[in-house]
Amino acid sequence: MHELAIVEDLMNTVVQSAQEHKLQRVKSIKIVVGKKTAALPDSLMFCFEALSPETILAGASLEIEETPGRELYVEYYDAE
Amino acid sequence: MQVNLATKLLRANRDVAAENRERLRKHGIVAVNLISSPGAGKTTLLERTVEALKDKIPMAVIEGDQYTALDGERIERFGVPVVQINTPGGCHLDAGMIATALDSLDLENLRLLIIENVGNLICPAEFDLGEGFKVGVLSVTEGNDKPKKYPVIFQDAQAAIINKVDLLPYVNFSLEHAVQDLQEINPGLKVIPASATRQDGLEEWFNWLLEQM
Repeated sequence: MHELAIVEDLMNTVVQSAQEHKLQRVKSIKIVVGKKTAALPDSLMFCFEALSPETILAGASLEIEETPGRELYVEYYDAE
Repeated sequence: MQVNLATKLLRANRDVAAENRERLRKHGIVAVNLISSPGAGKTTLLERTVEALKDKIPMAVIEGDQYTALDGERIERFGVPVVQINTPGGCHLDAGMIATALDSLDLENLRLLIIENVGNLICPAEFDLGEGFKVGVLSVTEGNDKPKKYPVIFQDAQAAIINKVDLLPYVNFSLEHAVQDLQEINPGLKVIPASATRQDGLEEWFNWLLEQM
């Protein structure tokens, strides 16, 4: 259930950065999630789909790279 | 355009945790983050611990629970300061909740703070609260495969208590294998078999805890 907190933080991070760069719409986001964070990709995806509509992230694709360790970060996003 | 971030997530929690850690350090308070699955016996262990140590060392307790104040009430009976945090539907305590709880404690006159996390072996492991160290509680009724199934908490902890050893004759649990698995996951881990209800093994826990002060 901590996936919700992770996705909220992910969205805030990307929205804030996009605003700083004066970008209007985010098309894709790539995050890296270690297996030991016990964050499930399916749940992250579900939370993202539930929270992103009506934000500048609406319709953006979320790519999740799984690694063996405890990594948990946004690698990049693509926006216009 | 592509924007490369490499920004760590949950960093807001880590920042607040770092502030909590500094605040506790300044006041010379050792904080313990007690983590287990629901029903492993954290609160009973805490009752015995408060009972045994409250006259030796000034202590307070922060109780995390989804909905009730039942655990807080159990601890309050021993006359130590208790802050109850409810996390309706939430599966873990976070550093912000602890920061708020610290505001309502008399930090000047505390040496030991025990934080009983929400019963859950998974999510609390990801949320640093600013504690000095984590202690994992595992009970024999859960089965001895749990350390391998939920390794992160035991990797991070400084001590693990294997609780309810009085029930060993009735359950399929190999104490030997559990201890072996725990030490494989974390070679430096202090493992203490105990029964909080029968008060077995608790002296070792109390002494270990006092040594950390």
